[in-house]
Formats: sequence, structure tokens, C-alpha cells
Amino acid sequence: MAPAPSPSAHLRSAVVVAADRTPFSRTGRAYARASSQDLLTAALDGLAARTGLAGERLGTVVAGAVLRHSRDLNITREAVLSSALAPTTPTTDLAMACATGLEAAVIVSNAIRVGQVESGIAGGADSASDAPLAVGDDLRRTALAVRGARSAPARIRALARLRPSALRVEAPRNAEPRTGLSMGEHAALTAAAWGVSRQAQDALAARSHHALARAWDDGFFDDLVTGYLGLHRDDVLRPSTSVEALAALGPVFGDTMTAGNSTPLTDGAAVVLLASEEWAAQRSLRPLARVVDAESAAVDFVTGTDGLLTAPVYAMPRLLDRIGWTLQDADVLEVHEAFASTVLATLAAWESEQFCAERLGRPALGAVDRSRLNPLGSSLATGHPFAATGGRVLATAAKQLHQIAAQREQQHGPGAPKPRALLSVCAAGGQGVVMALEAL
Amino acid sequence: MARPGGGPSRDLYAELVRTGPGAAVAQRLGLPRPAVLRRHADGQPLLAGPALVLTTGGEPSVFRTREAGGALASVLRGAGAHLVERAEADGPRLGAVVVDATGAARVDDLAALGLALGPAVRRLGPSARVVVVGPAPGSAGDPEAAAVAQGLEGVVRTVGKELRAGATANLLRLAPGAGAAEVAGPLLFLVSARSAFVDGQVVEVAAAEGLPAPVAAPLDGALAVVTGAARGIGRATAQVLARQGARVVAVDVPAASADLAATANAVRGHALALDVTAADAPQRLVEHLGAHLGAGGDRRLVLVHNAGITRDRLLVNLDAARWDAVLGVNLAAPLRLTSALLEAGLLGEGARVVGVSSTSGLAGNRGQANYAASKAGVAGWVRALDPQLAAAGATANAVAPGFVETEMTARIPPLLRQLGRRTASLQQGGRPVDVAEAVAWLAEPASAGVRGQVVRVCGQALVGA
Amino acid sequence: MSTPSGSGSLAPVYARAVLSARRKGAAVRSAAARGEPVVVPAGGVVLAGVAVDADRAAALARATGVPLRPVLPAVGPHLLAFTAQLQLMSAEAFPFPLPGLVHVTQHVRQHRPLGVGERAEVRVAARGPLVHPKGALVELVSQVVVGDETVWEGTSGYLARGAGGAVSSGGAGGAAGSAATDLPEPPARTAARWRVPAHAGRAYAAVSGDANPIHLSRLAARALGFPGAIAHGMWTLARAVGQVEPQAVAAAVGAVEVRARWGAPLLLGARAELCVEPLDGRRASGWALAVRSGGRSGERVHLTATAAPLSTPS
Repeated sequence: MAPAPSPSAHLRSAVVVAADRTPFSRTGRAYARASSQDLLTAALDGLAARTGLAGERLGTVVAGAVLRHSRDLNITREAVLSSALAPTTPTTDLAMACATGLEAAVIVSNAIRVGQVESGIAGGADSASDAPLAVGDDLRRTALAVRGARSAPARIRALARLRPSALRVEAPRNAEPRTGLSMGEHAALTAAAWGVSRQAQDALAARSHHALARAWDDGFFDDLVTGYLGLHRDDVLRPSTSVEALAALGPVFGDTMTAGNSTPLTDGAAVVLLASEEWAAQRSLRPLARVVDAESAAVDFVTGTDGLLTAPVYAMPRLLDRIGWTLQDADVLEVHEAFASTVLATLAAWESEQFCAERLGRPALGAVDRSRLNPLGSSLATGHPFAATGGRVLATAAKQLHQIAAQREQQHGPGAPKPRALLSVCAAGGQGVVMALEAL
Repeated sequence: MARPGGGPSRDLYAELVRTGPGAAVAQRLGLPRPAVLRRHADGQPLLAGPALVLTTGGEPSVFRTREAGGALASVLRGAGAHLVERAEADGPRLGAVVVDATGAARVDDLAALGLALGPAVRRLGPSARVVVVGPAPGSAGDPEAAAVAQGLEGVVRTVGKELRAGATANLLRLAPGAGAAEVAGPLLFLVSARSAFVDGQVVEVAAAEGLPAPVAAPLDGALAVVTGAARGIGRATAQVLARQGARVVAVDVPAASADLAATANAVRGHALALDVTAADAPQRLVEHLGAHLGAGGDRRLVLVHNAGITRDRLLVNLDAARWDAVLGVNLAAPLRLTSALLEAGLLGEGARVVGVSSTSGLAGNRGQANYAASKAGVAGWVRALDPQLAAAGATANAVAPGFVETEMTARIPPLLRQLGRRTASLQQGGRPVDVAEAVAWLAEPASAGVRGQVVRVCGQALVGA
Repeated sequence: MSTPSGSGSLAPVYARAVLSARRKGAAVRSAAARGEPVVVPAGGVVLAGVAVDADRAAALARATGVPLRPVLPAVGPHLLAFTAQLQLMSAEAFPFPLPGLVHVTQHVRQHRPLGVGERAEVRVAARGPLVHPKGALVELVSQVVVGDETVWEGTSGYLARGAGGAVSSGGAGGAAGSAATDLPEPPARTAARWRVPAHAGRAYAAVSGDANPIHLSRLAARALGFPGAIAHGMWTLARAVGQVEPQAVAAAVGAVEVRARWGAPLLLGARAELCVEPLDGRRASGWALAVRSGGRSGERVHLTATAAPLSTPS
């Protein structure tokens, strides 16, 4: 049965025009003193420079940060005000955990597709170096009581009720509020359930580093990254790592997950410029790819029915069915490497006839050509500044499509089929976002 | 401190000797006293004082018109200069003296020129300009005329060395067929504050067609590519080109991307991170510019090859890597990029290619055989490239910075550096903006008569004069 | 010129300055009484190979509410200049006592922004003293040079109160405080309400090394005749300019000029208003700034400043 045409087929196109990010840096290193807002400002400035948008008003900027201070209320607006963009550019702050950046692109592209705006920037920034420390509830209550007290003795009485233990600060924890398990611990459960081997995880991690190192050496990121605070390349990247070196590491989550096949805490920012084709043409900007459609999903990880990071397993088939693609149509499949095991478990689920029949109610999505999976490496090698990852993945995929399309056109002439990409980003809270892109 | 005449110098030595007590000390010790050069500022008049136009020579001038003072005077008047008839001993200090010596053809004319110029030079104000417009030697096929034409060069270079207080002297040589239209742009540049560090130079002006009159924003509608734009001369060039109306594509290596972005945003241009020596650099530049020049080709291209490096060693110690690196960036890359743009048809009507040579390259400099090879090479290249571009209505020229205070010159040992500054007629180093102004001038439509030349921006340095 | 090594801690410099203050003060007073002009040393101070590293740049950004960029804000290089100024002003040959000097004017010409961590040479020389209505004005001219490229120039006017008699009648260097004379009327359009943080003095002291006790302690400030601890002038200026800097830089093609004159002291913990208006009514011309307090009329003006494109760039 031919799928019904996508309901969005009559909308105009939103295209990925350009992108910029800071190099990503392991937390506490190059950007130890930078805030998320500083990083986002730097990425916006880099994008404005690359596209000649200094002083220009854009339709919207949608971005966010996962780790937020109370002062980061309106972080996107504050970053735009500090950037080279016109101060008349409106913004929206967005939060969807690790999928923030990609969901921002969904929102901006939808606004473009319905004709609400002509151009917009989507992205995100995170700095675990700048993670907020909160005071405990006891101290907070005491502080409020002191402020509310009308006399000096009353203030002293309020203060006197404070116990030393209340002075502890609470660092943000990488744990699910409902389960108390960290993301890594959740992923380890999923890895065990799918029988993902240590060897497979280490092989994926080594490949990610090698592929990313090659992409950097080839200059792939020359027009996607602007240096910041003296850093010019992702410093999580270990070009010389090997399966053997990774095999020597001890497990940190479950039996198979190590510091080598999990992403470290990372600082960075990434932004993507999206626009209508007309807007891009007016500015002589050559778009990289078209946003075809996107889908988000959420899973019941609380009861253990599904793994925390497996929502894209459900989102992808819904997207594919709506736009009439198969998983194998993707020339580039970008699956965010929160953990190597997450990627491998996701692929295993799509390949499993039993899982797909029982849980998705459809035939298996099938196996993917591994050479098309994260061809230029992913989060294991770049690191994963939560809200910045979506922008990085989208930019990397869009530029790959642009390059593949150019190669094809050279070989087969203008009639060659347009390369396609599928993107998948999992997120805390059992959520995930997937997106389909097509070269122009 | 925004007094007309410029802000404080960037050279503390100059700063200190200008103040009262310091000045006295400098005089006692016989140190040269560098002047504060008058440089461009938005809204300032063309000249710091009135202009005097002299005509000398037994033959008819090229510029003889019915207007008072001839065509050169009307060019100056058109640009807002106030003209006077003669240098009065009690009159205001002159901002410029322009000598129409196109009719000089006999030996006696040289003496007449000198005698006419003398009283005027005596009345020059700070940062004043002396511009002599003469014939090109040999253009008349007359040996005596050729001798006189060449003799003008000796006069002008000498005057340059005798002038003080930031004043400069330059010679414009008219090729046959060139007239007021061709000379207007170069003349206005040389009398303006924009040419602060161009001194003792000889610029030939050839006949050109369809020359527009000089205008306020001469680079409107131009797309200017500046390599090495993250810092120094490149950054200043991007700024001046943008000020003159060009849309700038700022190019530098990916490792300089943060500075490059700052430059691009500051000039409201585009940043293009590109290693000019990379194998795919020409292709990437063509693609990038192809998109920006648009299908209609409504923008003309200005290509400034500023990216340059040094890898200094005495010749006997220069290894292949140092030769290759310097020749690759400074000479091979401009050649390859220009060829690619030419083939792609992007160097069309009104396009400008500006190379960056170097006085130490032209003259040779101890420890810089590789650099000198590349920079002297640039001079030869633009000379040969220009005729190739002529058919398309484009030109190629080069600027040759002398001692300009940038990061690259910081590698010169301190004593030599001081020597480099003080042995120029202007007794100081130039600034990146001085080179940038010369580049922007060559990029103007009104500079179409300047072809295949190397203009030194050196304050009339001894080196490479 | 002396070339002391590096910046290091400024505490010994202060200690030396305090020790010599009484003696210098007496010398200036007696010179003034006799009508003898005092002279500032002809030499300067050069600090080679200094930089504002990422930690210090971040601390400056936090203290003054501007983003941490790969380059410093326009008033940032003053951190380097100040270290050299302090060396010069605490030198034996410098006639005026350091604790009594008040930073009253500042003029910045930034040719290009200085990079965070970028090594530079800082040169400072003194000019003056010049005639000032309230005493004698010494101008410290600073240059921040990278290689041989001057990227930043600053002129800081320091007032020695009541030392006017120590200025030669000719007024050694002409009119006092060129930065101060070229300022427009302070604008009155409120752009922001400030509550000057109580810790602003300590925060900026930690960043700048300007640990003058009038910024740190209420008691010390009262002892010196102020109603309470006051904000650093440069903190006030940095925060005010930070408000318009992205726009000013965009219009200025990177080269910016800042002029400032400080008036009434701004108390820590006080409320104040930042007033901003475009110069000549055009945003591209730059911005006039003022920090005012005193209710609706804003009669107390703490700072008058402009931030504008540099008139002669590079």
C-alpha cells in the first residue's frame, strides 16, 4: 500500500543554510570559565560572520541550555543581544534535554514552512563547567524567612534555626528524578537487555574517533566551526585511540560501558541557520539541505518497559511511514552517540522482527549499511554538550548531503537521485527526536 | 584628542618626543623627530590647507583648459580643495602643491620647475603633499624630453627626502593618451590623507576608457576578497574596503577563525575559513564567490592577496620546507587562486587584482631569500598578469609595504626595527591602515589607468627605494 | 624607561605607595606653597609579554556583566595599562601621593580588540601636571602593543586634589583633560536601573588589582571623606559601555573610541540609572552614556561617557 502523502507536503520548504559551532571541549578545560550564554553568543557570532548577517534581523532564534542557572532565564535573548545580530531579533528559550537543539530546529523549520518567518536560527549551548549549584531546601526556606522577618531579632531567630547540614549545595545530578538512576545506569540496563557486547561498543567508539579525526583533517569543519578561547578543534577527540586501548578501560556503568564508550561531560554551543529558499537566494547563500519532516516520541522508562534512551526507536518508524521512506533510503544516518550501547541497541531494535512486530506493530525496519552510520563520527568523539548536540548533528548531516549531491551530480548529471539523511537524538526523560533531510 | 591632524601616535618614542620636555631632549641628542601623519578620518576635508597648482615647462600642458589653473585645478576644486594663486609668505600654510610638468621637455624646464617649487615648499604645512605630474620618459621619442621626464623623478625623490612634518612628494607619470580623467583618481589619492605613508613614489598612469569621476564611496557594488584578513594589514584592508563601500569576504586559515569572525562581523562581511594553499582552495573560492557575485554579475570583484608568511633563515640554512611554505602562501597561492577566478569568468569588467609585495622583498633582505623571492615574484606577476586582464576591463597591481608595524614585523630584531622606522623619509613605521588605503585606492574604478604597477607604501624608506 | 618584570601581585606596590604618601604629600604642598611647579618623570614603564588570560577575562566579564568573548571589551586592556600605571605612580620620582589620586577621566582608542590571552607590551608614560579646577591633573598615556601593532591606547586622567599650586603657570601641556572636554551633555533617557552590587568593589578589585580601600571597606572610605565604599570608576564605565558595545562595535567596524568623565562617587549598594542616547540622534554615530542617581531628576551624575566608532581607525 502506498503511504498517504505527508500532510505537510503542501508546505513550502525550510532549508538548512549554514551552521556554526564552537569546538567542543571536555568540561573544566578550555571553557572552564565560560558560561553557556558566552558559548551561545560565540556560536551566534561565528554564524553571523560566516553568513554576513551582522546587524541583520532574523525571524526567530530558538535555543536553550539543559544546565541552567536562574540567571539564564532568557539565555537565548541575552546571547542575541550580545551577538552581532540585530537586537530586534526575537528569541525563544527551549528545553528538551539532549534533544533541545534538534527540537529547536524542528520548531524553526516549521515556522518557516508555514510561512510565519523567513529565517531563523536553532541551536543550543551547554557548559557543565558552568553548572548551577543550588542551595538545599532548608537553606532556601531559612533565607526566605530571614528576608520576611520584620525585625533584627526575628531575623536572628530565623537564622538560628539553620543547621550546618543545610549549608550543603546541590550540584545538578545526571540522574532521572523518577528512577534515581543516572543516564549511564539506564543505558547499561538497555545494553544488557539487548545483549550489546563490550567489543561492539569499543569498535563503534574507535570508529567514531577515527572518522571525526579524518573529517577534521579533510577540512570538513572549516565552514562549520569557529574557534573560541584559543581552541580550534574538539578536544575530546582522540585520533590515535584504538579498540585495544579502549578495551583496557574498566567498566563504569554495568559490565560493558566504560569511559571510552560513553560520552564525557562537555562544554560547547552549536547553531544552525534555517530559512526559506527565497530568503537564502536573496542573500546569495547556498543552502545545504531541505528539512523534510520530523517526529518526536517518548517511552515509558519509569516502569522499565522501555529503555530510557530508546524513544527514537519509536519515533523513526512513525516518521518513515509518514514520508514514505525506508531506513535504507538514508545515505547518511546520524544517530547521536550518547553511549555506544545506545546506538547499537537502537539498531538492534530496528533489525529485530520480534520487537518490531510486538512493539511497533510493523515489520522490522531492517539493517543499515554501517558505512552510512555516523560517517564522520559522532558524540563519542566530539563530546556531548547537551543542548548543542542537535545543532552539531543537523549541520554535519546537511553538509554531508550537500557533498554527496555534488559528487553524484558530477558522476550522473543533474538527474541523479537526491541523497537523504535521517537524524536521531535521544534525550533524558525517555524522549527522542528524529528528522529527515534531503539534499536540494 | 581628535584634533585635525590626527590622534596620538602609536609609537611611544614618537609620543614622548613630541611633548615639550621630550622634544628638547630629542633635539639635543640629534634624534629624528617623527611627525604625526595626517590620516583619513570621516568628514575631514581633502587637504589640511589650500592647494597651489603650478604649471611649468616650455611645451603645452596636457591639462591646459580655459578654466583657471587647468584641469588639475578643477579636479582638486571638484574634491573640495581651496586653491590659491601663489604661496604667500604671510598666507596660510599650504595643504598641497601640484605641479603640472607635462609640458617639461627641455633641460631648462627642470631648473624652472625647481625654482618655482622652492617658494611653495617653504610654505607647506604639516602632512602637506607635493605631487608632480609629468610625462613618461620616451613617450615623445625625443632624447632630451626623455632626460627631462626622468629628471623629474630625481627632483621629486629629493624633495621627498627634504620635506619635514609628515609631508610627502610623489610623481605621476602620464603615458601618451592619458589625461585628466585618468589622472584624477591617482592625484586625489596622493594629495589626500589616505596616502599618508606613500612617499617618494613614481606612479605611471596609462590611458583608460570610460573612467568615472572619483566619488565618495567608490567601492559601492564591489565584492572584495581579502586573504589573511584575521589580523594586521589584512584586517585593516577589510575595514577600509568596507568603509569605501565594498562587501567584504574575509579569508583566513581555519586556525584564525575566531579573529576572522570578529573581522567579518566588524565590517559586516562574510568570513571564509580557507587555507589558500589547500588543493581545493581555488575551487572553494570560486564556488563561494560564484554564489555571491550572483548570476547577473552585478558586483565587480576585488581580489586582495594579502596572506603572507615568513620563515627566515640565512640562505645556507634555508631548508626545502621553509622555501615551500613561503613560496606556497606568498606566491603560488595568489597565482592559483587568480587563475581559477579568471577561468571561471569572475574577473570581469572593473575587476581588480591587488598583490602584496614588500620593499624588503624587492631589495633583498638578509635571512629572507625565500620571502624576497616570493615578494619580488609578486611584482613580476602583476606586471605580466595585467595585460591578460586588460581585455576583460580589469587591472592587476601590487602594493609593497615598507616598514609597517604589524605582528609579522615583530619578528625583526629590535635594533633593526628601530632602524627600519627611522631610515624612512617620514622617520617612522607605517600602519596597516596605510597599506590598506593604497589597496582600496587601486581597487577604485577611477584607478583604471594604473596598471601592472608596484606602489610602495614605505614612507620613502632607504630600503628598496 | 624601566622594564619591571611582569605584573604579579600589586600589594607590594601599594605598600610602597602608602609608605611614601605622607612624604610626597608634604613635598607637593610645600612646592605649591612656594609656587614651584612639580614635574612628572620623563620616562615611562614598559611591561613586556603581559596578557589578560581566560580566567581574568572571565572574572572581568562576570564583574561587569558582559559576555566572555575571544576578545576583550574595549575597556578591558585597561587592566594591563593599570598595572603599569600603578608602577609608575608609585615610583619614587612620581611627585603625587598615590592614595590621594582620583581617576577622573578616561579616553580609550581601540584600534582592534585585544584577544584573550594575547601577549602584548604595555607602555605607560605620564604627562602633566595640567591645570584642573580642583587641583592638578596628571595624564597617564598608555599603549598596548602586539608585536609592533598598537591595538589600544588609553589616556587616564588622575586628579591630585588641591595640588593646583604645583602646576606651572604655563600649564605644562595645554588644556586639561582633552577626553573630558569633548563630552556631550549627559543623556537623560533611562535605559537601565542599576542596583550596584555590594560586592562589586571587591569583585573589580580582584580583577583589576586596584585594591584601593575606598572600594573595599565602608570604614576606610569614610575615613577618606566618602559616605561609604564606592564603585571603581572603571567598573562603572565597563558596565555602562557593555550595554551598548555590541552595537557600537558593529557600527565601528571594530575600532571604538570611549571617552569618560566621572563625577559624584557611586556608592556600593546604591541604586542608579544608566541613561543611553544615540549621539547626533543616529545609532551609527555611537552612544552617549550617563550613570545618574537622585530620583526622577537624576541630578547626581556619576559618569558621563561616549562610546563611538574610532574617528581614525587602525
